[in-house]
Amino acid sequence: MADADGDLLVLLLDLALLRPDNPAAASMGVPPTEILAQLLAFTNAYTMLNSRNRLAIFAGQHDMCHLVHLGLGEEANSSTASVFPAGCLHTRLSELVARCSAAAAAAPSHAAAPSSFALSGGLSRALCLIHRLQHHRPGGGGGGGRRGRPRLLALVASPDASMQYIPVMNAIFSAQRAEVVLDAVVLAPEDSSFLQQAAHLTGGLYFRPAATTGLLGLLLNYFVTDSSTRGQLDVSQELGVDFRASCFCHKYVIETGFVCSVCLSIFCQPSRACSTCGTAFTTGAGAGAAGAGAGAAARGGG
Amino acid sequence: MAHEQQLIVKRAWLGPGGPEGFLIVASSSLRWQPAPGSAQPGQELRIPLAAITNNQRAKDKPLVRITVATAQLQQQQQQQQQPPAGPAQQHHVFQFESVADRDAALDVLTKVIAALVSGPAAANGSAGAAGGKGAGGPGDGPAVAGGFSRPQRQQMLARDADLRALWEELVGGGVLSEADFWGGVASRLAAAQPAAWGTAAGGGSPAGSGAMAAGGPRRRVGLSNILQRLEAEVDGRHQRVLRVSLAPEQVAQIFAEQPAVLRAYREHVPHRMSEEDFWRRYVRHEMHKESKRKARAEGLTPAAAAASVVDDAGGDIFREAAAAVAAEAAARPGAAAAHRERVDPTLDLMASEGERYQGFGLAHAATREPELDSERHRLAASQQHHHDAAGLGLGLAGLGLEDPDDLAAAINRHGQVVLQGVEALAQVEAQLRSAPGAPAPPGSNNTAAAAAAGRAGAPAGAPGGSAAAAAAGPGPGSSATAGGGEDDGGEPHRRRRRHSAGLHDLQEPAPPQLDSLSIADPRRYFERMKDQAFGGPQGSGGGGGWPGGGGGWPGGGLAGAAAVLAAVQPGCLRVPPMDPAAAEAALLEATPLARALAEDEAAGPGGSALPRAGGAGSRDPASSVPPETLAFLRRTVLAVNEACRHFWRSLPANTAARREKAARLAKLLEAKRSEVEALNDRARGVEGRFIRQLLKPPMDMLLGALVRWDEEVQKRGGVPTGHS
Repeated sequence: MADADGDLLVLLLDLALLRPDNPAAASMGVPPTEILAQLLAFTNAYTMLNSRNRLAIFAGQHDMCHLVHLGLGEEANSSTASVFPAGCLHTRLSELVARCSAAAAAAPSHAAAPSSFALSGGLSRALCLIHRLQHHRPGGGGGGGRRGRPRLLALVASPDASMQYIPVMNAIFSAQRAEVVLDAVVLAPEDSSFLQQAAHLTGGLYFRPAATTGLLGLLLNYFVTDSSTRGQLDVSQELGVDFRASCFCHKYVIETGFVCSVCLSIFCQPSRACSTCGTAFTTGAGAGAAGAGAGAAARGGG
Repeated sequence: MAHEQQLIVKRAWLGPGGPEGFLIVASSSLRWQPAPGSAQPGQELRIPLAAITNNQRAKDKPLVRITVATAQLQQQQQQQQQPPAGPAQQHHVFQFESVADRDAALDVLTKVIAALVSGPAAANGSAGAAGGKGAGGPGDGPAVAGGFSRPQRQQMLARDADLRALWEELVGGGVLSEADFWGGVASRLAAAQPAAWGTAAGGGSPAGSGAMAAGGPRRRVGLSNILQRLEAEVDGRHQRVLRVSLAPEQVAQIFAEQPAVLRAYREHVPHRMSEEDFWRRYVRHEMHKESKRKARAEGLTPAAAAASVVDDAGGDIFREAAAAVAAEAAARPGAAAAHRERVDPTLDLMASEGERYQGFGLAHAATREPELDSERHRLAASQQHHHDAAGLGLGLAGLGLEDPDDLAAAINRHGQVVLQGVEALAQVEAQLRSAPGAPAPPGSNNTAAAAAAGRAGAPAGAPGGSAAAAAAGPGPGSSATAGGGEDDGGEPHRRRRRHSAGLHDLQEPAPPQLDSLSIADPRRYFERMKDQAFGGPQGSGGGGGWPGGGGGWPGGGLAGAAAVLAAVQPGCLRVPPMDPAAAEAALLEATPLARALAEDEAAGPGGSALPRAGGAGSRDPASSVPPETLAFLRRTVLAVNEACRHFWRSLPANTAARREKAARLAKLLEAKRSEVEALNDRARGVEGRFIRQLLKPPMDMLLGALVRWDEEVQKRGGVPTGHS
C-alpha cells in the first residue's frame, strides 16, 4: 500500500445507474437504491482506508459530465469536509439531478434523449483533473517517487456510442501515456468495447458482473486498493477484448475497412479523399480492402 | 600491536571532568587517546583486553568503570619494559557523550573479549582479516565480523538452516565479504529484535537471541520527544527529588492555558536564563502554589504553613508576569468577554454522520444509552403487534429517543449555556417548552442532518433517529414528529427533556427511578429490522423498495433518479450482509488462484481437496506443494531479498569497491532472475498459480534492482570494473 502518498481515484458515474427506467435496470435485478447505497459505501471505505487517499467523482449522462465530489484527503486544509464522502456526494448528486431536471423541463425536446453516456467528455475531464492533482500536491512535491499509479474507474450502465469512438480512443491513448489505469464496471446487458479496450491498454480491470448483488464485493475486492498493491494481489483477467474499430464516416463497427495512409483514419467504404486530412486517393489500383490497421493506397500526402 | 584493527572509536573523557579524548576498542586492546586540542592534556592509556576483568556501567549515566587485573597488566608491561603499576587492581572510569555511545562501545568490547577467551590463537592470528573475501567455511574468517565473534557466528549458522544457505550463497560464492554479510545480519537483528529475522526460523529457538543474549546489544526504541527533563527539584516538605519531563505538547498547553507563563518565557528566555532554568523555576513556583493551597486546606497555623510551604525562589518572574497580564486585562475591560465570544462552542456535526449507520451504529448508540435501548426494545415489542413500520418512527420520535447526533447537539447547547450564562439557559428552556419536537437551537450547525431530513420530507432537527428516517422513506414519515408526545408527561417526558436539553449536569440530579428489566427477545428485533430492510415493496414506508421497471417511482428518467437519491440516506446506508454466493462470485471474477482452487475442489474427491463445509473455507494451496519446492522457494526469496538489500546499499557506485560489489551482486541477481523465471515457467495448475503468486514480490525486487543497475552502468559509461 502506498501509505505515504495515498492513492488517487477518479470515479466516473453514469447517472443511468440511478434511473429506475433504465432499460438495463430490469436485467440487473437490483434496485437502483441498492446500487447507490453500495456505491456510497464504497466511497466511504476507500476514503477510510488511508487518510491521504484522494477521491474525485464525476457524474454524467448523455450530454454532460460534472465533478460532483473532490476529496483531497488529509492534505487538504479544509476543516469543513466530512470524513465520509457519502453525505457530500449524495447532496451534490441530488443537486445535479435537480438541475438537470430543471434544464430538461425548461427546454423540452421532442426527440427522446439518447441512451448513452458522455464517456469521452468524462474521460477527458477526469484525465485533466488527474494531471492537475498529480502536479499540484498540497503537501508539496511533484509526485516524485510515487509507488502507485492514478486510477480512473468508470461505472457505466449505458451502451457505447459509436459517435464517440474517436475522442474516446484518444482519451484512452492519453491515459495510457499518462500511466493512468482505466478500470471499468459495466452494468449493462452488453459489453462495452470502448472500456474493454481501455482496461486492456492501460492495465486496468474490466468487469461486467452478471448480477449486481455483489457489486460492493466487486468494488471492495478489486478497486479499493491502489495500483501497486493490486500488482501484488492475485488478480488477472483473460478478456476477449473486442478490438474492432468504428469507421470515421458512419461510425459503424467494422471488421474490415479502408485506412488512410496519411492520418490512419478508418473508413467502411472507399472514397476519393480522406474526410479527415483531405488527402486525395488514387482510384482503382491503390485502393483496396484491408483489415483495420493495414494501409490503403493514397496519393500524395508526403 | 601496530596492525591491530580498530573496531569502534568513541569520544570519551578520562573520568568525570577529566581530560577529553577518544576511547578505541581494538582487536586486542582498549586504548584511550587524548584529544589533540584538549585543554587538559592527558596521557595515552592502553589496556590489553586480556587484563580486563570487569566493566561496570553506571545507571542512566554515560559512565563506565573498567577493572584491570594488575598481575596481567604487569606481565604485559614487563614485556614492554615499563615500570610496574602499584595496586593489585586498577580502575579506570570513562565518561562518554551519551549512554548509547557507552553501550555501543561496551558491546563491542565484551564481544571481543569473549572471542579472545574462546579462541585466543585464532583471534590473534586473523583479527586483521575482517572485511576480506569470504573464506572456505564458517570456521574461518575474521575473529569479529559485524559485531559477532567467530563462535557466535558458527553457532548461528549451525542453528539456522536458512542463514546457513544464505551464507553459503553470498559469502561462499564470493559475492559478499564476511564483514558485509554479518554487518547486514547485525543491522537486521538490531532493527527487528526480539523477532530476529532468519535466526529464529530454522531451529525453532531464537538462535540469534541466544547468541546476542550475552552481550545483549540494547535496542534503541526511537527518539524521545521530551523537550525538557528537569531534575533535583526539592520538595520542601518531604525533601524529595522531583523529576519532571516536559514534552512540546505539554509546553504548548501550559502557554495556552497560562498567558502569564508565556509572557515570562518571552521576557526571560534565553537572554536572561536558560530554558531549563526557566522550567525549573516554573515547577518550583507551581509546587509553591500547590503547597500553599494544601496548607490552607489543612488549616495550618501561619507558622506551620510557612514551614511547610515550598520555597518559591525564582517565582517572582511569574508573579510579575501575572501582574502585568492582569493589568493589561484591566486596561481593556470587555476583552475577556470578546475573547469568550470568539470561542465557538459548537461541535462540527458533520463528523458524526457515520454514527447514524444502522445495525452497528444503532448497537453502538445503544451501548452508550442503555436506558434508551430498553425503551427501544419495549417499543419494538409493542410494535410487533401492530406491524406498523411508520408507527415505529412515530413512537420513537414521541419518546424522544434521539439519534446519536442529538448528543452532539446537547453538547452544543451545553457549551452555549456555559459561555452565555443563564440567559441562554432560559432561552433553551423556552424553546423546549414552546416546540418540544424540534428545531435545533441556534449554535447547532447540524446542516447535514437538516438537509437530509429535508430531503426525506421530515422537518429539520426532528428527533427520530436513523430507524425512523429509514422507515419513513421519501414521502410518508414526515408526520413522524406530529406524535410529539409533549403531553405525555411522566418519566419519558422528563427523560426526553433531559436528553434534549443536555443540561442535566447543570441541574439537580433526578432521583433514581428504576424500571423493571423488560428486554424483549433480541432476535425478534433484528428479524424485524431485516424484514424492514428486505421487505421494502410490501412495506408502507417502502424506502428501500424497488417496484421494478420504475412503476412505483414518481416518474421515469431524472425524476426517478431523484426519487432514488431521496430514498437513500447517506448517513445511514443500508448495506446488508452480502449473499455469500454473490460475494464468492465477485471474488472469483478475476482471481485466478482462488478460481482454480474452487474449480479444483468442485472437481470432486479425486483431487487432494478437502471437503468444503457450507461453501466456507478452502484448503491452503501450499499444502499440495512439495516441501522441497517450498524450501527452495524460501531460500530463493531470502537470497533475493538479502542480495537486493546489499545491492541498494552499494549504490551509488561512486568508488571502485562499491562498483565491484554492486557488479557482483548484479550478476547474482541476474542468475536469480533466471531461476525465478524458470520456476514461473515450470509452475502448472493450482500450485503453479500459487508459486507464481509467491514469486511476484521477489520478481519485482529483482527487476527493480536490475533496471537500476543498467542505469548505473549507462551513467558510469560502460561495464564497470568487475562486471563480467
